[in-house]
Amino acid sequence: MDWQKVATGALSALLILGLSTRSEGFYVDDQKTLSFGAKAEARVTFRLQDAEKNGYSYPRDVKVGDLVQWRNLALIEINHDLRTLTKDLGILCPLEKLKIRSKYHIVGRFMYEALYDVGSDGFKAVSDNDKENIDDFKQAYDMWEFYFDFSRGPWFLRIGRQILAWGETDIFRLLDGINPLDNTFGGPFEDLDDRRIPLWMLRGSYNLGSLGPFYSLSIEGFWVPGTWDSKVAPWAPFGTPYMAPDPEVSVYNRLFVNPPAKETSNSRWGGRLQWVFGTDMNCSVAHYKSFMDLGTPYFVLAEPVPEGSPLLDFSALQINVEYPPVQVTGGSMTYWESMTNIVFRGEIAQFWDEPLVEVSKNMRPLLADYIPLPPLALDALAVHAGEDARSFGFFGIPLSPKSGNIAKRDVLRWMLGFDKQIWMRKLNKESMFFTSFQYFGQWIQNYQDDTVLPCAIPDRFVPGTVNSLTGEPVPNYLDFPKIGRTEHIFTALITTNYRKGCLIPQMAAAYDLSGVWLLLPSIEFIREPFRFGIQYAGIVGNYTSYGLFRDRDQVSFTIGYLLN
Amino acid sequence: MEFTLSEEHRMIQHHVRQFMVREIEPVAERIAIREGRSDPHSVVDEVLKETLTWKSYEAEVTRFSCSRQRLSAAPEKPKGGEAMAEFKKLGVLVLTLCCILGVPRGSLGDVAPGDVIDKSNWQKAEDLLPESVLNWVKKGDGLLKIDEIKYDQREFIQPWVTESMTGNVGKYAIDEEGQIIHAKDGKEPEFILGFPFPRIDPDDPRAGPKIMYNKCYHSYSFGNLKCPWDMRWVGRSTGCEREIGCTARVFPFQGYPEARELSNPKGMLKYTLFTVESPFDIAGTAVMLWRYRGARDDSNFGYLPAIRRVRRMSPANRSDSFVGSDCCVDDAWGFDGKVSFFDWKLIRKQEMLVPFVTGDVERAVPNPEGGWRSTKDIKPVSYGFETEGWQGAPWFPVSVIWVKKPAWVIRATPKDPYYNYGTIEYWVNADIFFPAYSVINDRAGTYWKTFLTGMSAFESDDKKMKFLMISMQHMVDDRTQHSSYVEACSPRNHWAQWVEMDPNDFSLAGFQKFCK
Repeated sequence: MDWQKVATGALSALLILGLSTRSEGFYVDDQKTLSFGAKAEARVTFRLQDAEKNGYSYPRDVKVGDLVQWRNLALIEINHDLRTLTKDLGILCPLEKLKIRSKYHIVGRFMYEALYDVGSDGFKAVSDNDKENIDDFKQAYDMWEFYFDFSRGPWFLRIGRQILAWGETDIFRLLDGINPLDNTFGGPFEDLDDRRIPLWMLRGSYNLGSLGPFYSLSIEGFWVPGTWDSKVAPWAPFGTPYMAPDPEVSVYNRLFVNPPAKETSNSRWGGRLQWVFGTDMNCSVAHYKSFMDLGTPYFVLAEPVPEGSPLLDFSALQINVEYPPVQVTGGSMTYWESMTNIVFRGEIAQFWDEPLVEVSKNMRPLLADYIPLPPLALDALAVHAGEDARSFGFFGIPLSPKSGNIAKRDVLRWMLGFDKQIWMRKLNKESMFFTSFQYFGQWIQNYQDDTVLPCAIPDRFVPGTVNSLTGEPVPNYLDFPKIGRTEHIFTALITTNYRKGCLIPQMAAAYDLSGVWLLLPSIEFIREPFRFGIQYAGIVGNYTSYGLFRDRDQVSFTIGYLLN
Repeated sequence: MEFTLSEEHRMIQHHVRQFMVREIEPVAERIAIREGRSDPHSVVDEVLKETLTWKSYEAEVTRFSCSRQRLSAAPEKPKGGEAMAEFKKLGVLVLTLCCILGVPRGSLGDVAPGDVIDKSNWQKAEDLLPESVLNWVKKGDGLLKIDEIKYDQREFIQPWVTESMTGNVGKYAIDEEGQIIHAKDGKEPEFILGFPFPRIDPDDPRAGPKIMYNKCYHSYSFGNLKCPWDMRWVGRSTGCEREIGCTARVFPFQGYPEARELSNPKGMLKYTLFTVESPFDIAGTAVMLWRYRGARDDSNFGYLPAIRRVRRMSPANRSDSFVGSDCCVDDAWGFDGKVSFFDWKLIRKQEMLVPFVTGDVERAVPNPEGGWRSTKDIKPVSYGFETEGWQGAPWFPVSVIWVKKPAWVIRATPKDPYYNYGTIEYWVNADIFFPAYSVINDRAGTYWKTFLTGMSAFESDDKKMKFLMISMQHMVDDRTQHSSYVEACSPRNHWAQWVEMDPNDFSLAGFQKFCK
């Protein structure tokens, strides 16, 4: 029996036993300096479509109605303003003497994904095949956030495990690329903030005040010591419901994820200057170093093959996933326009040396010359090995292939958007509708036209090739969705509330000009101390961008209990 | 009891002469002198006759027993000749009274301490409450325990505010845009201490905004405020539905002596910082507001835990429902909008019944963060849903007492065509320039909801420190039969005034201290 499961159950029971008719704050003292809060939430998600035929969603037999997520989450939060303790506790006297205000914040997080224990046989099999990895992945018990705040006058310092977000863009990450994202659950259907992973960080700011037309000018910086915390976005284990679609081939067994080592050179750091211009415009400029949200795969040979020698042992071919650091320079602004009552937002960021996947670089071993073999021999080899070398472009024995490396390009990203609250009194007399629209674009500089997403397009076959022994066409794993020189995505969101804030419908949508639609309607219902939610997520369109998840339409049901 | 028009006429004349003569006589006298008439009362009679030519309108009002608010929002009466143009202001005043008296009634409102007003004797409080509040009593939603308070509220106004009652007389005026200016040179004053308009002339067409500016500057005299509060949602059949816990921090740049020394290059009126502490799903939400002097719009910044960012927000949505409650942001503190964003009109002066949590003075103690605060010994408000055996509305404040106070009744009309409220009638406690009621109509002019504000008085043990503080705020939506009330300073919410606050906390950088 997993003691963690017992702990989660006990915690849930405790929370349920503490049921009250409303969510009141829990304070320990009269002055409300020490407070507790907690939330328990369970979410079940069902697939609304069968996995695409010849597609790469796993398990392959996932059908409409199959459970693909049963995520149980409990959060316990403590906030403690130390202003009274600094007066009463000798050890904290220096803070009082130096007139430094201090507080701390703790969030404990307990997560258990039940899918691999109670889901379909396909997911149980995933768990059995990759037990250690899945066991580690499906449950977590963390000190999720834990930081101290110190402030005096214009100085502010926050030390500890925390989340920091800059910029003005929703959904996409421009200046907001400091904390890694957890890509192992929910994928594009998940709220961004639920996926942010806190980092051990030192963050400080200084309020410079007014300077000419600049008001509330401040400078801010952060440092995540690489020796302490070099965590990056984790790679979803193979076969999990939100992994990127990739063919189930033997080379996947030789995929090595190499997160950055804990060393000083892998520190994240950055600085930002922000101010208010006039009264209606906020501006900021920033520069920081961090890591991208997805690791970058590339093919390498475990042992170099001498020039002119053939590659006889295919197991020497492996995939490395690495996270090279990226530096980002950019700025953002928001402007409230009084005549239209619209808040305009804009952000621009240049990603220097961003790792990308270019077939000619990252997949260089697959482009090697080969010693041609007759089709029958290739057919026989394919039957023997269980996979066909022709799927990787080899119509024979590869000749002196070379390891690939990671392509790096400068990428410019930008966002223009606006938010407007409007009255639609025929639909809602008491609350406004909040609407938000964004246009997001990116431009890859020194673009190479073999820049791709590292996910094979399903249902593609090597032209004119059929295995004569099995009679099956040979799948083509080298047909990747391309990334264009420029990409453009539009997003829209509209929400309001009814029944005195207890019923909150929301409609979110995104359209990628490459031909993909994402629809995310949801509704939340509040009946204290519970929260109930239903969300539909559907993707239609081409197999690019978030269209990679187009065969994973789903509906989620959430129930949450708030202790306060 | 049905009234004929002539009976009404006589009654109006009687009431005008008996109760409003002090208000009307000076105007009537001036007109009589100018017109060479010997009897000012003939001027009053003439106005009344003109008023009563509106038979069809009054008949309609009588038939449907419409609210006073609708009636008072009626179109201006047509001008009836040269002389009548002179009587415009007086006419409006009298018209309003006519409207009040035009509704059938059994007896005139009058109450005494010890009375308990309920649905059997609601008539006793008839002229002393907004009709919406009276209706609650009529239908048994609540009862009013009439009492007295054991102190004079005016003694709890800060000394510099009291001094302004003489020092600020004639010092300031209001311009065409509704902004405060120096009476002498028409320039915008950089700093005002106390009430800017200590004497209100009912004939002054700008009496309305002047009363509301006094309200604002009275609030600023509280200095830096730290106010933890809870809001509860209460339904008629559902009882207490939701609760949120918040803290408001207010940092005014006006209204108290120390504020004069503050660096204020942007011409700020006040900073407000508002944080949500519970429930868990919205805890961490924070809003910062910068309010400027003059006609400039506020600057508004919001931090949402869901996006982990400080984001600029529109300041023009202050009539939107506050997190789904029955209140909007402008309802806070009785009125928290910008005075110049509304058209104001003084309707009348009268007596009203004001809710008080207690008739006693509460205890104030030094606040650890500077200034003075309330204590846990303060008397709490009990509401219907938490009172055993209560038969009325679950949101009714059962434990409060109702005390007679002088009132200015003012009508506000928002200039913003998208504002969610139509006209709002404020019943302002004339002793302290603080609204006790806001009676809110929708944009079609139909009555919608009523907001109540209760103040308590505090003094230190040595009786040297005295101040007033809000102890009750309460919105009743009569249309949806729902209420949201604020537990202001209470046994668990200790409100503090003149708190030591760092202006850096209200900068873009400082705001982050309050964000997760």
